[in-house]
Amino acid sequence: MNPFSSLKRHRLWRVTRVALAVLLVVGVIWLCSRQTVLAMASGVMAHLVPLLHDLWWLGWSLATLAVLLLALVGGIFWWRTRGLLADTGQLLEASARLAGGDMGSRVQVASMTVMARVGEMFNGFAEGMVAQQRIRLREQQLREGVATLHRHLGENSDLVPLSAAVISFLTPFLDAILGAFYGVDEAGLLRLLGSYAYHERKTPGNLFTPGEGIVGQVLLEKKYMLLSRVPADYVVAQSGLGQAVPNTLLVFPFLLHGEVKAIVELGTFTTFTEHHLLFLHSVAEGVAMAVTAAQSRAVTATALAQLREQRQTVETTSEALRQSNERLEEQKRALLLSQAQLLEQQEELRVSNEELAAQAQLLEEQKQVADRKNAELVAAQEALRRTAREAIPADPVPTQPDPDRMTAEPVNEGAVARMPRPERARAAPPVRQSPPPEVLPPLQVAFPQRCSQAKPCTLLLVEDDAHARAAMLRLLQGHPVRVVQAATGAAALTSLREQPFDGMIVDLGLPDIDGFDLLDRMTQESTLPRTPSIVYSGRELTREEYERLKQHTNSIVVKGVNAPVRLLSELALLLAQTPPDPTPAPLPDTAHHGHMADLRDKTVLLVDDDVRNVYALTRQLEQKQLKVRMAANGAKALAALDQYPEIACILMDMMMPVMDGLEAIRQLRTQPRWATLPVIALTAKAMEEDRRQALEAGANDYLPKPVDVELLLEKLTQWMSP
Amino acid sequence: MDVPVEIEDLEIRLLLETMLLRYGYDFRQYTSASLKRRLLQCLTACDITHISDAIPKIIHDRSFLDQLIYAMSVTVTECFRDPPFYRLLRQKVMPVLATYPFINIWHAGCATGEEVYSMAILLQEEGLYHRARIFATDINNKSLHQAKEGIYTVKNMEEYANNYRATGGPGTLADYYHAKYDLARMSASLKENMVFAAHNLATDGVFSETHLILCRNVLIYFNNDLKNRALKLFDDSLVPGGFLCLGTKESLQFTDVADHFVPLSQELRIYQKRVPR
Repeated sequence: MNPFSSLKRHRLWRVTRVALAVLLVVGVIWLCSRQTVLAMASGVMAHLVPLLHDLWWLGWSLATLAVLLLALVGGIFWWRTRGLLADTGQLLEASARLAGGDMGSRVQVASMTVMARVGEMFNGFAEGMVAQQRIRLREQQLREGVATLHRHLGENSDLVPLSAAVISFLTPFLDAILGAFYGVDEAGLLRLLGSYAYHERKTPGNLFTPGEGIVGQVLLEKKYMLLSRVPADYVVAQSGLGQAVPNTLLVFPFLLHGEVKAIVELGTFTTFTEHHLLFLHSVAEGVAMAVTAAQSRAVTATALAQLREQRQTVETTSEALRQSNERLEEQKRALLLSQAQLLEQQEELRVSNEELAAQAQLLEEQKQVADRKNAELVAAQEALRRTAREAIPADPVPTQPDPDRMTAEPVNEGAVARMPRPERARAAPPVRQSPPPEVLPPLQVAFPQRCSQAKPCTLLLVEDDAHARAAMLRLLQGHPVRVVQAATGAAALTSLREQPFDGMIVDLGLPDIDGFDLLDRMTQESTLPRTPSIVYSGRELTREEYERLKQHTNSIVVKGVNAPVRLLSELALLLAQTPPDPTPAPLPDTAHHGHMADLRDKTVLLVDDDVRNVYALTRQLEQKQLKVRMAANGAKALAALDQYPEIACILMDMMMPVMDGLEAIRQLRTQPRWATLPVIALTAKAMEEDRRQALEAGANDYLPKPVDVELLLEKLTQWMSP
Repeated sequence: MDVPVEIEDLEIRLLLETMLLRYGYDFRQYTSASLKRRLLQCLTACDITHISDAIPKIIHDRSFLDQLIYAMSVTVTECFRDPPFYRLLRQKVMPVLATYPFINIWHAGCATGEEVYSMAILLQEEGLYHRARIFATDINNKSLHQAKEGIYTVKNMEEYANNYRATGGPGTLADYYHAKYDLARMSASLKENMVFAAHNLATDGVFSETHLILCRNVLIYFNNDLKNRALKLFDDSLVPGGFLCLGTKESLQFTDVADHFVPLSQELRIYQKRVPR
């Protein structure tokens, strides 16, 4: 910037230009007047030379004058310009300092009026800048304060830490030395929640009702209170250095929607400015909101905890309810069931009622008949008594028949006297007073027609006890049998060799050979005809003994009360079932069953506990030259498999005690050595599902019970063919 | 007959056919009135309005079938039901059974098993249980399972105690169960010789030779064909001289096997199998 450009407009320049103009006019006028004088003396040449001389002098003096004038003007100009430049430099320096941040930079202009004004303007401008910066700083502080406070508010969700954070921030921020923070609880009471350097106050306690003390008053009025000259005993600020009483107190309410939510009480040694108040106003709503939120969070938390507790209670209760509901359901089902049963019973009752009515009527009729007969009897007895009295007056005649004889039990125990049964203590008399049921006599024993008195069947009785033999003979008396007795096993064998018998009765306890051995020998002795037999013994048998016996004998009768009766019926059965067969069992018809040759001498394991089935099958399989091993249940089958490795096929019954067929098949299939052993399931169950179960357990095939032997042989051929 | 009834009958027929085709359970010959009543009760309990709605459920849900069979085949039972019957068993049948070295007893339609345990108690008291075997069968797996458990309510057991006394039992029924809370568990010793198995009298065959068969209050639900089939099974299974016991409302009269048996007590429905000539 050219400092001189501004000088053109300066007053000094204008003065200079006016002075030069005046000088020019005076010079011209003066020159004109000298020319007039020269003109008057024109005719005079003599005056020409001095005129010329005068002209030169005039020119010279004029030039001198001009030079002098110029020097004067230049001197003045230089002098003035030098001060201006210095001022301008100072101004520039101050501006630069101000721009550099020196707010205290000012200008001092003394030289010329115009520069003084420029300096003043600069100084005013700098002052303004400083003031604005101060405002900006305060605003920034305010903003930062608000932000910090809000951060505290945001970080603390619980009421007490929140209060502590607020008061710990507010007190130093507002240049106070002590502070207290109160919240308004749900009961509308003020509660001291947090404090800063707070020691003691005149009013003790942390709870204030509205209107109580200064804070209570503020709560009521909802306006802040500023108190200077606080009483010395009102409140004391505590610091590490000692105690002091603040001289100004500010109690400020935080309002939300026109309601006081919290109050802060601050004390200072100085005074609270309007900036402090402005700050409090700007954060009031935020604090109030935070306090309200914290309070409601606390309430919510409490409510939630209660809710959780209640829910637990409800869960417990509902579990209990569910259980009792289940019980109820069960009871309901039971009720439904019993309802159905009731209906049935009702129906039954109705029917039996009708029957009863009919019977009652019958009884009534019978009773009438009986009454009539009784009356007749009484009359007859009376007549008899009269006659008797007339005949033998001293001898009394029983008037009533003996009641015992009237109700005597029908004799149904056969020829042998009933053995006394052990006395039993009866716990209580029978509940139902029904008449004893009519018991019909036991089975009528009918011997087959081929045995007649004319041609009786022959029977061998093997019994070592003479009394028992005698009893047996009495039992058989009157029946179309001829009995040959044998007291020992040897005698029995001798008799059997001598003649064929239609049947024999064998006691197990013989003096020479055991009944088991006797029967075994009979079977082994191929020359002896097969004689059907009944084992009659008082001996308790084991399952194994029973199974062994059953191979050779038709039936086993255990001696006891009812044994004679049963023996007779078994005898009748035996004689009826087995027509004498003098020729031994025919050899298998191999021509007819050509494929059966494959089965010869192969071993089959028959697993079944049904003895009847076992022996029927065994007989038929043995006729086909198969060897049969037996096992009464699954566990025994597994043992037999271990013992007899030659077993080539298993016939497995399903329904057995101890270990059933399914389980047995499953177990044996777990062993690799039996993985491919053919197993044919025998099942009484017709359902597809049962058969599927057997196959799933590992059976290869199945056969329905009762077993069709032809079908069985087919299956055996199929599964045992190499 | 009005239309809805006809539809209902048709639905029942379809349902029974479904049961036969899908699982082989043949209920077609059960007497229809009682069957229908039980069926409707069961379906109502399952919130099924139309009988035909049950058909897809039967096809795909085996447990529903069991439920249905349970409802249809369940019978009233109690320990020592009809004390005079058990009294006669004790006095007349047990001595005959004692003459067999081993005794097989078939309890067909044992339901929840109360009478099976009664029989075991009877046998034990007569000193025969160690050589006896009781085959307890039922069509219904659920009740069979209950029978196997042998757990009943103490309250019922106390009622059964009267029955037991009336049969002339030498002890008390409480000797044979252990009560805990309100439940009674039958003694393990009673279960020793029991074999529980599912068996359908309508389709299955004979599984063992037996000396005594109890089939009480089962045949009343059968029509004549089914009844004859079941009785033939019993006839085949029993040894000559063996005993068949039916319910008080059931009789052998007018059945195919009527002349194979003689009554020991007509009133108590105990029959003895004749010895064939």
